[in-house]
Amino acid sequence: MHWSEARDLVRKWREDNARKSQELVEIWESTLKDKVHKLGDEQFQVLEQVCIGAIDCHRIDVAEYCLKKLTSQFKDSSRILLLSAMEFEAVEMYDDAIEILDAMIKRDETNPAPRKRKIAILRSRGRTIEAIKALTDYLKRFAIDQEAWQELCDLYLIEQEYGKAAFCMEELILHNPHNHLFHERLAEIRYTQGGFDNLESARSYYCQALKLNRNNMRALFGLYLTAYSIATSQKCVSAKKKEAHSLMSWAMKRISQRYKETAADKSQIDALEGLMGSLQLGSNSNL
Amino acid sequence: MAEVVRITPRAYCKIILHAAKYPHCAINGVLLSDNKRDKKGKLTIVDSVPMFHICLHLVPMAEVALTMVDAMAQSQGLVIAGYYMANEALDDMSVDKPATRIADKIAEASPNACLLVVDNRRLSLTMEDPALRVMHSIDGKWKEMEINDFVVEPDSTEAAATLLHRHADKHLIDFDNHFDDIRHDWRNLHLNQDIEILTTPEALVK
Repeated sequence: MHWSEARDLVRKWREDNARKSQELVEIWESTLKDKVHKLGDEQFQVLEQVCIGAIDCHRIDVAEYCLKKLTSQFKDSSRILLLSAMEFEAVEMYDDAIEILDAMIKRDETNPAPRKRKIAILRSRGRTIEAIKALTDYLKRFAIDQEAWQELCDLYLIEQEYGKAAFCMEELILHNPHNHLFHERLAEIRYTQGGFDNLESARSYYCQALKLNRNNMRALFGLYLTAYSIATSQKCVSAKKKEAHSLMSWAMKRISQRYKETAADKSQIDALEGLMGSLQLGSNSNL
Repeated sequence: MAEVVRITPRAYCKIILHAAKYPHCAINGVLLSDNKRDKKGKLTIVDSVPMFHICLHLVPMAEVALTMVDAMAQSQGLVIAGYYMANEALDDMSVDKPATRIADKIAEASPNACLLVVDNRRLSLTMEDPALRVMHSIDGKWKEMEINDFVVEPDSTEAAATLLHRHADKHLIDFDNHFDDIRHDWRNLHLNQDIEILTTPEALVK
């Protein structure tokens, strides 16, 4: 690969936020390392990117090399400090990492990055409850950080605090009303919570997800399951039962259509029919 | 006690490849057995199906995946006989509640069911060690099995190491991949053949 191709590829990954750490380190070692001076000012962005990728793969030698190059150029940059804290994290020297991060927070209270790293350290040490507390404190200051809301949602799910996880997802939907994935995820949380009202809420969010993207397979399956549970619930009045049945048949039709279009393999369709068959027998497992 | 659980290379390699494909995620999946227990109640895990790496704690997609796997298993005379998982953090070997719920459900239907936890710390590119913790359900509680009670069949770890070197993990498909694009087949039939060749050299000669 020519170095300019490598540069373009690595740039694309950087812009897409793709986590291709292993490939990145391979390209670095095979092509970019010797040509990095040809990249002009972009070389520093590449060095930072490779450094993080190397830490992700536990290639501390590569990370160290990049960090050295960056430090010689930028003496007192907080971005470089963050990298050195991450390197400490990677070798599990958490106290040294926290020392750097605390100093960074003290220097600039408005910088979210070191605060987020500290929460990440709590997570990697398995202290979920403390991480939740730190993250809620963080969100009081930085309420528009969507990544943080998503992380908090995941943490609540680990703790099986479904109501609180749903709140985080609602927050994300307010930020991104047109993202079908958030609607789908909220529906999944509501379905997991169970109970008739939550099932109805799940149904609405699944429908909205499908309105935004009619090919979302998770939402199609989810809508089918939800409508099935609604239809078989004792609390369901007959008008709603009818509506649930028509949703079920619509979802089923879309699912079979998608499978017939794409998965030519017959056994996949058999598995699908098995799924629908067992649901119609009423053996809804409700884990 | 004599050997109780036997894990074949096919089941084993898929578990390891799943863990390797998503090193930064928790993963889970189910184990299939051939349902032929001998008198001593020995359980042979013949295959595994990778389920999720994105969100392990929500029910709907797990219900869909389990029902689909069950239908496939039945058509091949297999049964779901266990559950495997790896946690996100390196040293975390715990089994959280949502995982226990699925595993309990499997144990209800299939006594002798086992629960495998991948020991992240012991994973390596050379795979000198199975890196598994095997548990079974005793009176509704999951207890770790004695080291002599389970066997990972010979050649399994070597086969897994070879596959890792070939980056075969990139081609492993779990249910999350399947739901993202249903052309991807979660049965991983393409891997079966590779594992077969790696573990039975005679297959090459034929």
